[in-house]
Amino acid sequence: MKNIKNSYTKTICLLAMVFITALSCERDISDDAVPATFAPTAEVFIDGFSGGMQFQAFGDIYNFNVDNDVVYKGLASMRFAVPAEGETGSFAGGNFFTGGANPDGTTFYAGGRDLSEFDALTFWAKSSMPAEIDEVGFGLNPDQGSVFRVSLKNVAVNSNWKKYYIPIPDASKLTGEQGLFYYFEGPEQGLGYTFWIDELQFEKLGTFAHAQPLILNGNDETTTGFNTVEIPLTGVGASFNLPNGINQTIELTPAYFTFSSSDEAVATVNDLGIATVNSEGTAIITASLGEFEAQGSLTIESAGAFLFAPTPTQDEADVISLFSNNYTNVSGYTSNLFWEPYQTTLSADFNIAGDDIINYIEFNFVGNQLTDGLLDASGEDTFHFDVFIPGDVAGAQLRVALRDFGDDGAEGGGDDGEIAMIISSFTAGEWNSFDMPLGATGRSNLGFIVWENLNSTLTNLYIDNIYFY
Amino acid sequence: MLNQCIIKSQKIVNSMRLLKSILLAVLLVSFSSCDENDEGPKGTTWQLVWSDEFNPDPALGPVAPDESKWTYDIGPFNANNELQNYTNNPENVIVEDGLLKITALENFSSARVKTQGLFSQTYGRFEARLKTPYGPGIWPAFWLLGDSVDTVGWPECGEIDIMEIKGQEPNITYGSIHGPSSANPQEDAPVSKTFALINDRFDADFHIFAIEWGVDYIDFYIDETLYQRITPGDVEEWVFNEPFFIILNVAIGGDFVGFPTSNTPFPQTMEVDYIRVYKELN
Repeated sequence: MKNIKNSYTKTICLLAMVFITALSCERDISDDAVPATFAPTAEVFIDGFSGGMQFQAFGDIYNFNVDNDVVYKGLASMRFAVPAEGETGSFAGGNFFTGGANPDGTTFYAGGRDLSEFDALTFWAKSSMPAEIDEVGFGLNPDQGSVFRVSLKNVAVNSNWKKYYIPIPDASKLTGEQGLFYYFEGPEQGLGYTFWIDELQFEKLGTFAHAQPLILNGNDETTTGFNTVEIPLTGVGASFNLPNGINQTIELTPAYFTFSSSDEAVATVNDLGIATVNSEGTAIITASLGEFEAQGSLTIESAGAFLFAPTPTQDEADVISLFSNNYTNVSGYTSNLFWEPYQTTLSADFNIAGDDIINYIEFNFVGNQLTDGLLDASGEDTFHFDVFIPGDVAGAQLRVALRDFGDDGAEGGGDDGEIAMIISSFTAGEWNSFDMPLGATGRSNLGFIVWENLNSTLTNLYIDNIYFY
Repeated sequence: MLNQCIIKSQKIVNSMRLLKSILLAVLLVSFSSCDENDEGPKGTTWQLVWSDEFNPDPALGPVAPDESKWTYDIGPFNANNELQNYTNNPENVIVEDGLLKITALENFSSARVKTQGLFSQTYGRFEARLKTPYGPGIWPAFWLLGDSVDTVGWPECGEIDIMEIKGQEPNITYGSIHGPSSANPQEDAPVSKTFALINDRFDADFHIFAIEWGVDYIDFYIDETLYQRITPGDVEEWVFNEPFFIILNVAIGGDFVGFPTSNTPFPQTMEVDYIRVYKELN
């Protein structure tokens, strides 16, 4: 009996010590502001909506339904009806998320999920005919922005149920995600069809391996920078080897990466993957994804103070200006019409000391709207613009076209015209000014300017002072 | 006199041998006690008798495997519908960075090294520390085959598969034996078991694959974990009382694993840190 009593006492003492230690830890932590934490709920859709989840359709609301007949497992699956070409909505798309605003605008639940313990969003899918779903992913957050978006593109589905994996690139960053699943899909060669998704959930598999992250598409690239100019790190990607031994390429946002600069006095990079040039010199930007080093780098050769485009000399009275800080511009000029699906061009426009600069990155082509409605430039005979190419100019080929919609005032109709020029000679490290003669071609109903990279090295350019005179 | 003299010198030799073996034993014991001493479930203490650490003089750079220990199977392997063509080319088999690397290439060339004719042993602990390749249709193996394969053929010679992995299931390893069925010595009567890693994969890090083999048992280990014991009661005929030699290979395709697909990442390399063989210390 005595022995037993002794051992109890010992245990109690030990327990007490453990508790004291634990308590004192707790007190230490609570001195700091402790962020609110979200529940680590795994289910998105097993046999119905998981708690607090909402659906927002892109296009036709009826493209999504709960299906109680076709299921992989359990009682229900998600059914997506992709319309045929020309049918209502012409595509199927939608987002499943927690939290966000009610239709009347009041926030009902500022919720999110703590996904930091998971390593994948997984689901089973099949379709009524062989197809490739354009995009499925998660991280479209209605309230917080889509900083941590991840997706698979061109996902092949057929009439057999198959398991799909969307690896989470670095789960430690996902402590409060609203966007749990989204999809975009258009007709398949003009045809509508149906696909089903079931057992949609976040999982901790532990069986992904061989992560291969990339920035700048895995290349070592060089660009020119100027003080205060922001340079987005682009061409990010990653592949993971799935539990079935197959490599899966994912699309992901730069925010998943941790960037570093070889010289922070020259350039720094923020959490969203945007570098800011601070001073003259050279800085090499590299990145890692979780514990894995990314292939590719960006060398920023900063020239220091910004080199401005030459100040226009035309008399304001003779000018129709679309984009210049030296003239009064027409209203409605739009520098990026985001022509889907083939446009890769993104805008990274900036303003230095009151001067606005258009910056196209990942440039393949881009359309501009000249003004609200159409622009009548019949009274002018020259089209002017200034171009600066940061980085190498060798091999750069730019086509610039003014599209006139003709007398019917609408694109097409057999009466459209075009005035175009191809530029294949640029001077590095300087602004290049171009004055394009308009000749006799009709230009009283100008609808678009189209800037196009003719399969060349030209993927990044600045443009300023776009006007007619 | 002459006879006596001979006997005497024989005695000297004997005592020198004894001294040598004592020294060796001391060395081995101290070696064992820090690292290699394995008190298995049967309370066995193992004594290292053969190993390849794959650590040649670094000044030599990448080299072919030690020819005093390893030989090759060359050419296509006409069994199991396998697709690979085995070579001894450096791009398929090389010792570098302290590792034996066997690489399967997209042209379906690969390598298979073995100790046949150079080393074999009955009973003991056979272990390899290695990292496996991966991808659909990739089939790495660390296994033993009975020396009698050339005389009695397979499966009568017996086969002990210490590690076999299907590249499309990189977290699962198979431990198996093959031997003849009692009805037909030409017919395979295998016994097999799988072991799966939780939250990890055999291609993500090095693991130790081992068997401990005695008169009436074969124990299969992954790292510290015993996951299968096969005894004579489990098989139709126990053919595991003869010397077996070691084989390491990376096969491509075949009945066991299925075929590679356009999604199989190439090249695929099996990296072997060491192979060690022990005898039971009495």
